[in-house]
Amino acid sequence: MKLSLDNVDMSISIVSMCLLPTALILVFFYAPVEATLGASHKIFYLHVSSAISMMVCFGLCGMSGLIFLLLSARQKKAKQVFDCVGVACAEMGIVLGAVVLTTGPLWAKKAWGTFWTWEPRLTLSLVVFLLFLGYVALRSFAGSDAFAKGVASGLAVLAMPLLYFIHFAVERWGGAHPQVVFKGGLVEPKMVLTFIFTLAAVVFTSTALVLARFRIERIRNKMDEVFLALDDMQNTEV
Amino acid sequence: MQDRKFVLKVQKLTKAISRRYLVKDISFELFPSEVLAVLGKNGAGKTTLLSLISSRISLSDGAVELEEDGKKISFQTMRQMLGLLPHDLFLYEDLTAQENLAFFHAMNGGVGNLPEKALEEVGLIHAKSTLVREFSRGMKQRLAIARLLVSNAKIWLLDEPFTGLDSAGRKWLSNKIRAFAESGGAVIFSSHDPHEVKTLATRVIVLSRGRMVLDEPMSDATIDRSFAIIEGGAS
Amino acid sequence: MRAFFSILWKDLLIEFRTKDIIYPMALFSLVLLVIFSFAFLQDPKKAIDYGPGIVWVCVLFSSTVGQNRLFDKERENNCLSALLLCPCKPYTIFLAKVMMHLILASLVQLFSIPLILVFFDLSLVDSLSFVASLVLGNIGLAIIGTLFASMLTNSKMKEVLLPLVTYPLVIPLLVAGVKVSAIALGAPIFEDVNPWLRFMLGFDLFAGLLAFLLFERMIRQ
Repeated sequence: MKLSLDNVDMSISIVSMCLLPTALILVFFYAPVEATLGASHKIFYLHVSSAISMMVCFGLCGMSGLIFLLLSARQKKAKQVFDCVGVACAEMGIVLGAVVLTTGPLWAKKAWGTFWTWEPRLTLSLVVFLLFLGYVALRSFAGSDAFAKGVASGLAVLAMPLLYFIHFAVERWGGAHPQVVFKGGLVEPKMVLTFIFTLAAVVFTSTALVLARFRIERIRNKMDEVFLALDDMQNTEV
Repeated sequence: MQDRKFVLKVQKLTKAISRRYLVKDISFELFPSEVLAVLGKNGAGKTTLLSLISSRISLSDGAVELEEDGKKISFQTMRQMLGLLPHDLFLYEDLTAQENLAFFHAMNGGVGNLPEKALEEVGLIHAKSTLVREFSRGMKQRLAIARLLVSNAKIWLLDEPFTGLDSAGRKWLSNKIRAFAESGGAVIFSSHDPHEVKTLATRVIVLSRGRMVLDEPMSDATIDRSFAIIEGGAS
Repeated sequence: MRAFFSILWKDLLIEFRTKDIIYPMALFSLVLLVIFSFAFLQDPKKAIDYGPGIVWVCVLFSSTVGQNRLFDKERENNCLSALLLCPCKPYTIFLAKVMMHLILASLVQLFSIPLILVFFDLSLVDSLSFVASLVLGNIGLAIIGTLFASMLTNSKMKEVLLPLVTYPLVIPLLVAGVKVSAIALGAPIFEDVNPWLRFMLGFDLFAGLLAFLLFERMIRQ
């Protein structure tokens, strides 16, 4: 098989389609039920996997934004690629963020009795979610030309290092609230296996979706080029 | 005006926005004392062309170069030598005429009494302490020309400078352009009325749908041909 | 350098004549303050819980109002292009705008902050830290806000986009500012202000550096 985008895309999709149901089965039937929290504890597999994937998307979005800004205006094709990567990651990040912010409170309700505590990690996820929303909003509403993409990239690039500050602030701020320890419960090997599977499933599914979104954006750009060529043909006969 | 020889080289200027070309493959050269008229219907790309040359907007493709005495000039210096007078005039309405000029003069690194002299030259010295908000269109136009004088530009790019002027104003502007060209500067101005440019331009370019369809020295036949193109083609 | 002062002087001159920015900022702060009093001031003894937060919300919101207006004047006269066509570096324009915003915000806060202290009956225990936090907070807000306000000035939804984009980024300033203000106003929190102030300073330096690197790239696209 050739190493083309089509084939890579197809293989990742197939793998994720296998992994996801497997992971679900593992989560529900294989992993042991936790002593104190009961079956609700199992939501944490999905929650942590999504959180990790979301942060990876965040990093990718920031990096591609940085490369977008560093490339000169002449290297249009390359800039386009990185802009497409950025927007695909941002939109995936929104989806993953929604998953994290839904599963988190659901688990919190069962574990702590309240839907939301201003726990540092969850709050950080909320802020990251907001940043993703800002990125997509900028790209949608600030115009469709290269300028808007530049601004959005700037946001992504700024957000990356500032996230450290945000993390620090949120952590110090939430001093009064109990720190929820997420990874402390992974003692049994069955749990570890389930977790790895779920993580792999989420990562593969996210990658497949990001690739799909990336290709849609590329096709949109190609459409613009086609229209440009059409415009050229129609008008050069004058 | 110094008597240096310069050449403005515009090569294959192209600007596209997502699905349309605003201008495509525009090329020409401009020499001192030339007055180039850019004609075309509304939407043909005249404003875009001037904005591209002055680097107000970024190019999609192509290049603008300025050579002086055979040597290529840096981008920064070139920007200083090009003076743009856009349709929206670039004037601060809440400042007086003098304050506007002083600001632009300082921004262009100038020293000395140039703003005062410029105001005299355009005949606005009596209104120097009036807010620009209270100026008529003709007065604002004159102040904008003063701004060009103050910035020491050698090439003027004027976007539809004659609109909104009465006949006295038009005469004044034509004289100013002619004087500037005679002293060694070059002028590119856009218009959508071919007859207006008859007495002023030394060369004519016609744009249609962003493409250059005519590039000739001025003559009666040129004017008639331009007229035909503009009236004939859709925009 | 000279360009910096020219732009700043021009902006101050226009503002002095029209007061188009400072009046909305001040009035908005005042109205906000009154609304907050009605919304939160049920029990005067609890004012210390809300006071610091309200100070910073007022600072943040009036800052956003100011930033939107700051570039309105340029947009009205289409002069942002004119400025960019001048031979100075784009970063000089950025710095001049940041400075302008700082001056205006300081003036407004000289008026509104004492009012807040009065309305909420708060007493300044540590005025130096309080002022320091406000200064550092305003600098950070000005840098990040001006960065995006300059880009968004021509877009349709800028009043909504500007907060959406900048607020998540300035959360560290808000958290730190409220913490320091609370301590400076006598809240029973037994922490040292200095780490937080250093944190804000670090944030400002970092944001300034990033803005310096990014501004020209972003605006030239």
